Amino acid sequence: MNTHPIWSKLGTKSPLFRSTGGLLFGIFLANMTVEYSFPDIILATDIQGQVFYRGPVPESTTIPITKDSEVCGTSRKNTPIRVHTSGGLQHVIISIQGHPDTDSDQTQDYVLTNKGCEFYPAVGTVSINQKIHVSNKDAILHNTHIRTTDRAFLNVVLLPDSKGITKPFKKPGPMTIQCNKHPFMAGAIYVFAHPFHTTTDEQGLFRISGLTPGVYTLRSFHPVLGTQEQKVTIPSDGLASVTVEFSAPPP
Amino acid sequence: MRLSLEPIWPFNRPPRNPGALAVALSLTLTAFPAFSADVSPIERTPSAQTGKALYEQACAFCHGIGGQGDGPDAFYLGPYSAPRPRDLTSGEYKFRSTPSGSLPTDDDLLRTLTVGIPGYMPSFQSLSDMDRRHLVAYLKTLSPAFQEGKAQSLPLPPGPIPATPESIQQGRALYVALDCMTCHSEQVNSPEGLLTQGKLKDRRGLTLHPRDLTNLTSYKNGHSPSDIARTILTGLDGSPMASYLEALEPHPEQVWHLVNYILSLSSP
Ligand code: HEC
Ligand code: HEC
Repeated sequence: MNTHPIWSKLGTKSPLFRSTGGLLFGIFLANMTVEYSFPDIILATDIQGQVFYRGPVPESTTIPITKDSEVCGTSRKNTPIRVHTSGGLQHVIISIQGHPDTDSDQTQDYVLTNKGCEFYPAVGTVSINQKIHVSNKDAILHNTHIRTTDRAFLNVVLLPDSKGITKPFKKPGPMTIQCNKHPFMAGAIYVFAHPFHTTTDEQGLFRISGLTPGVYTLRSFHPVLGTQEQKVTIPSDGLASVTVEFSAPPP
Repeated sequence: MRLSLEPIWPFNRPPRNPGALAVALSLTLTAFPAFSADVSPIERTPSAQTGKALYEQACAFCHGIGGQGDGPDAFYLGPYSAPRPRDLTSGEYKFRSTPSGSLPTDDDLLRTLTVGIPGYMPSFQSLSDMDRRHLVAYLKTLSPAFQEGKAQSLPLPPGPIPATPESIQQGRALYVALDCMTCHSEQVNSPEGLLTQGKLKDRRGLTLHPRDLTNLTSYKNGHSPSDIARTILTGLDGSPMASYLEALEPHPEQVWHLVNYILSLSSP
């Protein structure tokens, strides 16, 4: 498919595609031939960055596994702080606070899979009204238990290779994922009331797209290392780049 | 002529003696026929305000004035053991007819208040049906979760079915296949059942014992076949007891075999 550069630059999260913006843009296109002063099209840009961990990396512990070892193995390494050789920190939840656009056009289900007695993805972010789809790809029973800070969101037993369960997210905030059958399984989901969020990859890298120029707050949350905020400026031309640093947790 | 109900209907205090009040009302009604239009809607619509007053008399000493499960008597239920009186602001409910993670229906709440929670909370059958409805209306103001909208009851599959030896046998096979004995080790010998003893926790991190399925009267969510089927399909949110809705979905009627097996555990 050949796309005009303007389309790819706009990105799917561009406010131009949201209700009123989209309409205005439509009017703009319709009026192209007529005399028209260049309207204030605000091009959406991306922010990208890397999160680093500065400090001694705690040693991982080993949890012995006594149940369903044929599928789950006999032990599991527990690494609460995952640091890449580059110093990049994985599983940091990044969000942009204060952006005027709050509607998410993310309609795809958030797919959570039980596989090899692990949750995939272990850590992820979603927008309100997105749905979760939980399923089990192992040959044993799993019991996925997802909780908000106050209450159960889902506590269900899933058969091997089951078709799974789908449910919408209605409230912003953090959620924990556990398996009642396999206590060594753990994960997290963060629900946002806006579309500007992501998690860092193994190298600590992240990218959020569809932001209109302005000054916002970039919030970084790590379950063990806590929360950090910093101001970021999204320029009207080009990409914004940032670096976030976490230091060792207090002993 | 419109008359205010204030003098005879103390809104901020629930009637101590509903019978006497009814007499008083009917007397007033015959005296002032124009009254009836004002009286009946109030009698029929549950009022959170009336519920609040009832709550403060009948529930607050366990659940706390604010509903956070911190009433003065909560201490005597054992401060370090589960379950504590529920934090009614959390929106988390065990005894539901609705899917896991959902709110209960009004009927679910009414059932809990009517039958109580064996071992933990008295039955409030002594209150009138209307008073229990006032309480339900008030309970729903305690947690913002109720603004999310109503939850729908899950239909139970057609049943129950007769507890034939075959059905009980099938139920036992399901009990094993669905790994119920990981937590409830009764009858089916399971070393794993012993492993989880004392390790199951509730939302506050307090040790919560799985139900002894051979002791029917200790069941919190009722022990009729339909009650047990409901427990298995919806799960008890806030405890490790999960919903088996998805697991039984290919053959929902199988839940009745499980029910028959569970009931057979307590029959002599
Ligand atoms: C003797 C103390 C006590 C009193 C009095 C009491 N409760 Fe409870 N209540 C509890 C305990 C303990 C639980 C938690 C049981 C559990 O989690 O298994 C509970 C749970 C509940 C629940 C949650 C049910 C569910 O589905 O999870 C509701 C609703 C409730 N109580 C309402 C009331 C109301 C309304 C009153 C007054 C009419 C009341 N309670 C009086 C102790 C009490
Ligand atoms: C992960 C552990 C666990 C597993 C697996 C489990 N249960 Fe439970 N179950 C519990 C706990 C804990 C309670 C008590 C909850 C409470 O008191 O709040 C309970 C309670 C019950 C109750 C009584 C509810 C009541 O009214 O008091 C029944 C019936 C029951 N379970 C049936 C089953 C069946 C059938 C299975 C298998 C299909 C099963 N359970 C699997 C932990 C478990």
